[in-house]
Amino acid sequence: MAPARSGLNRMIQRVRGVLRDRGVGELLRLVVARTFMNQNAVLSWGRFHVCRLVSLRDVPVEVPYRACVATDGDFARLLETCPGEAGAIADRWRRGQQCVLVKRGERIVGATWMIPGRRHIRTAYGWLFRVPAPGGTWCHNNHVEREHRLRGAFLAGMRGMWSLARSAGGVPLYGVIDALNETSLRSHRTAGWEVYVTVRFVIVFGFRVFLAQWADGRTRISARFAPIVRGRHLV
Amino acid sequence: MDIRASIRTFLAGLMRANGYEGELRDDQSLVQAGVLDSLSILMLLAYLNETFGTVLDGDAVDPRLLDSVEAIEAFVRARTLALS
Repeated sequence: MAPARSGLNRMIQRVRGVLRDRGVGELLRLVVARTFMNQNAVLSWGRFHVCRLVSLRDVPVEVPYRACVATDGDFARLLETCPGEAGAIADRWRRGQQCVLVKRGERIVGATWMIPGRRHIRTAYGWLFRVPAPGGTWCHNNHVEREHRLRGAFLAGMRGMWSLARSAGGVPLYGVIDALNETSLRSHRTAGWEVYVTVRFVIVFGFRVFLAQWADGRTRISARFAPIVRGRHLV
Repeated sequence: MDIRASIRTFLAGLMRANGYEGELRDDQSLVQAGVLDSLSILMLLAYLNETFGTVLDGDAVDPRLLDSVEAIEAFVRARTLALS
């Protein structure tokens, strides 16, 4: 019974926090979203881009951040950095995904996960991406702590990802950016990323229809049935 | 060299490269307008260093100091004054 009570307490605290910080309107929006939108795949729609990095556009400046590949010694601190994602992080680690960390001193301020060599990736909302040629690396869950944004941490992370992928013969890099996240798309474009394919989707009661439009003009419609989504990124 | 004009010329190049359309006021937030992002802020710092000799001190980089044409000009003046 204790875990249930603990879960209820967490939920009550979260509701109180949203009411205090964002108001009733935001709380209603969250409840509606959880009930009807992405969480249970009853009804959802949107657009995302699969982007590609063929060549990193670097900026010749020193930044007070460094990137490194996470080791066993970093794992505990990585879990502390993202407590809400501990389960997902542990699962990625167990499956051997690589993690590039961005550090300021010894503090982890950002991370990106990388999967080299896969030919098929089940991406956001369940769309299957076929990597067009062998050797690419899939990147996902790129994150930089808010207070370290626009200060060079993003560039340090990009340098780390690029360096790791190149040394392993794993370029180009691929990753998903939600179409609503214009800031991220802009930053990635400045660093040399390009939109490779744009996917529009509609999900109704778990039936998923995807319209994919490649930058070279090709289009393809695909569909699948998957009633449960455990996360927006399924890699 | 007119500092503000030089800054505007650099930003105009960035805006062209990013496909940004529209006029830019001197007090407008460059980050909110989508003119500056993670890397273009660093490009701007490199340009200011090259053009005006402002020292690139990574610890001191605060995007709020570079968030408008007016703020960038004040940043350059303060840095060049400190150096002199």
